[in-house]
Amino acid sequence: MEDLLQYAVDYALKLGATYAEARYQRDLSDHVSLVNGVPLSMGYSSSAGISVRVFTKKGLGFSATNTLTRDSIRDSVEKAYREAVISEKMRKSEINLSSEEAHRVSYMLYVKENPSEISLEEKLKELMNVDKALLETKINLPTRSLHIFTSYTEKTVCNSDGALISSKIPRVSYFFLIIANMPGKGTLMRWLQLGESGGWENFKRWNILDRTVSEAKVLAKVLEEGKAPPKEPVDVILGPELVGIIVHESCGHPSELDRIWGREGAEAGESYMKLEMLGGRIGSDKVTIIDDPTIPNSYGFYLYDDEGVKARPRYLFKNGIINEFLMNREFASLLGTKSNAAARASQFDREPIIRMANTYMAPGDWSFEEMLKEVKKGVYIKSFAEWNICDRRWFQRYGGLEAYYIENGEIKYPVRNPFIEFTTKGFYSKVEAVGKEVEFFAATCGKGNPMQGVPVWAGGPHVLLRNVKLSVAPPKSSSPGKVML
Amino acid sequence: MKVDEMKELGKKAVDYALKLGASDAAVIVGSAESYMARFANNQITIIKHWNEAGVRVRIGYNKRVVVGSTLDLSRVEALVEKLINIAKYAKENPFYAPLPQGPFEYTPIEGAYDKRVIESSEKIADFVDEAISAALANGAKRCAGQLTLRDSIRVLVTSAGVEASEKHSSIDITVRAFVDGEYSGTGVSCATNISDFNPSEAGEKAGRIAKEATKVGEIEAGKYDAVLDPLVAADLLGSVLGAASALDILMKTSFLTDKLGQKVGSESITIVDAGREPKTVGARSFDDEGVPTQNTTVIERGVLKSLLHNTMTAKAFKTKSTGNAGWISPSPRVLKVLPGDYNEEEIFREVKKGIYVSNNWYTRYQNIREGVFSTVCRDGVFLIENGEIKYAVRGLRIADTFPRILQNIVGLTKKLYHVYWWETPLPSKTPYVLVKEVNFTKTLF
Repeated sequence: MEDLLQYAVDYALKLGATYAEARYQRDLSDHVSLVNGVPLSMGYSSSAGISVRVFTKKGLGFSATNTLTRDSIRDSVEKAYREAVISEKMRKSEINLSSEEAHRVSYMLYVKENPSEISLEEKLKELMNVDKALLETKINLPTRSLHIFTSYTEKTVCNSDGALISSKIPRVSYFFLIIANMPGKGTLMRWLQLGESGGWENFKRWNILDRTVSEAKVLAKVLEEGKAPPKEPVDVILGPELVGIIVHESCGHPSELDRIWGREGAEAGESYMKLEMLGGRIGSDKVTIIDDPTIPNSYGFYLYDDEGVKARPRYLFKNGIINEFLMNREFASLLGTKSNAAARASQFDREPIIRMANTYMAPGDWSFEEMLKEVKKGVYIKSFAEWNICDRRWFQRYGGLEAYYIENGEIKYPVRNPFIEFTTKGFYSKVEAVGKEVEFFAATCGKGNPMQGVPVWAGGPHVLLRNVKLSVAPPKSSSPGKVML
Repeated sequence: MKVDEMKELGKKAVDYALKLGASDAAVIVGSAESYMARFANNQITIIKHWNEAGVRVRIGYNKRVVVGSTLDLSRVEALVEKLINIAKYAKENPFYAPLPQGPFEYTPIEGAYDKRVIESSEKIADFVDEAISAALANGAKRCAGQLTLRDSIRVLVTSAGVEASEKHSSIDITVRAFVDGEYSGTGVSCATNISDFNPSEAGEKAGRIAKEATKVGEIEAGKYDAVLDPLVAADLLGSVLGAASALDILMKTSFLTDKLGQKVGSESITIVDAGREPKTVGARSFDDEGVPTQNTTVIERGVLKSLLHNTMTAKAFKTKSTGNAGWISPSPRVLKVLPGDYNEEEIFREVKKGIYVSNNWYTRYQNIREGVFSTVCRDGVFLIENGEIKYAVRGLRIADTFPRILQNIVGLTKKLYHVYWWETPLPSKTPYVLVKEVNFTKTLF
């Protein structure tokens, strides 16, 4: 395979490319789904192929094929070169790449049990045990949608600067969506994804049965006892799940330098950040946010990115200051700096673009109990269902699910559907205390065109915000009437 | 890949599955050549090319169903073997239904294929130039977007007597125009043939909205009558059509659960899954099980008339497939909202005080069973007063429920627009839609 990749790179240079890169990627995945006790879907998929990126002075072409012959690769290189030349018609500025050390490394994740080699029968048994336990709770759960996914990704990247990186990474993930129904009280929906790189032993550690059953019990409790959120401004404690999604959406994405420059403008959007904001304040000095691909077992794990650059932790916000953008080689060169290894491609036929890996708020020095004691009147929001953010990553909303009213430092009763809707700076400026313990959650992050879903972790500790106004869910009833004309 | 080669590959895989003990089998072989130009800041950032073929396999085995896919054509037999092994220890699926017995007669979709689309790959930069120029001429300062052209063949072979193939082509552009980072507008054009493709129109609309969005005023959160652009109607009513998938109803993950035959919206709204719409991206003549496609009226004058079915869900509901397979889940092909009787000026004139939402994104559910959702208003969003656009407003999101949105639809335009872009992957034909008392929220800190 390395010979084919080297051939592609050499041929591109021969055609006139200023830089060329070829990547072989093979993805094997399987899934098993149990929905309301029905083994709805089991399956297996694979993809393998080669893509090439060819740079000319002012153009960039990309071509992918899953026919792995020399003729087909040659055709792909010619197409990519031709596209680069055509694109020069509509481009004034030169494309340059940051200068990087050319690593030649091969690495793989050693695991006790490869998740892809565990039979789907065993995976189905795991889900059936969860489903049985859910039924035994006697909670009315009309929807119990349970899924296990595993994947195995092999990549080899070769470029004209001499880099050659090979990697093999297995991953496993569990996803559930349950809906609880209580007569007179309505319904509540909970979904959650857990995921790691590593072996089946990681999956076993999650104890998905207890985890899912406890979430079902929470739904029942909130349905039974949940009250409306307070109308007046109160203190709010957000749990790690909320903090994770918030830092992913409002720090990680807007830190992507391709967005800042406008390259994703028509799809995933741009960013509130501008180049001149580097070094400027965005939040309280309690806020440090890190994106780190190198965390062992993390869902977004890698050691070298898809341009062959060695990965390291990226300190995006440091003590409330915008400290670093996420970069690949093309965008690092615009700043005259080095890439911080954020280039990722989701499969062989996708271009590597700037992505997050594992984004989290760094821990502070507060225990949850200390935080709780600080609150006279407040709400603790532990989990969420709905979320969204504007495409400049400034206006955002999160729909709380498991939440509790706090009075004089004590948790009193569940609060139903508290929504929190704020601006990015509004949130980070209000962070008054940060917890000691960081917890991570798995997600598939979407970006690019065609869409590329890549595995990531998002996480953080508990945080305390002061004096926050919450909003409520839209009312259920509607009075049919005439339009106001 | 040639059609005959693809059929041969499909037949071999089906025969091999039967030989290994499958009770039935279906194989889809797909082959496509595509180009995509992406642009930003009025420059092309990359042109991409794909030449790919892939195989998807569905195997029935003692009332079990397993599915798989591969983009490695040398390993189709290995995929079949793997699926059979999985099927052997899979549990029985109570919804199992055998593949429908063919052969069937298929009527080709009118205007589904135009070979000039792929032959235009040399002109890709010229199309982009045309769209950007139109946006700039209408007030934009810079544009981002994409243009994709695609030529594909789809072959289906089943053990129940189906051997079918069809060709498709599509060309689509998205233009997002900016006056600066704060003010933007989006326009799209999509077609199955070169003649209906109009990059200038997409650029003009994007530029016009971006320019209009520079005049900004204030607005409070609250309930307003809303004119939804065809882009917004495509996203939101596409969610409604998706919720009519019979599997979602069986699994009780839809706000349309237990509503068949009941009134779910106002009399103004009729929603069709228009799988056979001529010259429309996404229209197909046969589904993944080989059933001929049809146009299915899902909501007729506010009443939920039909769900979307494959053979398995049809059996569970004791009805016939609507030609919407999906081997596991039935899914919509083309959203068509039947037109109303307004022209565009008139529908705005109906609004005393309201909001025009030109685009949206990031629709998410707080409760999918009850249809409680929010979506972020994107690009130009405008206050309408006495039928006229007064000024742009910022930071709004629609936070409401689908049952109420459907109930409060009071007007639609005569003209439908073909919508297909990154945020709305379900191809759609939608009008401007007037909805009364839509709940809008804003950030609180």
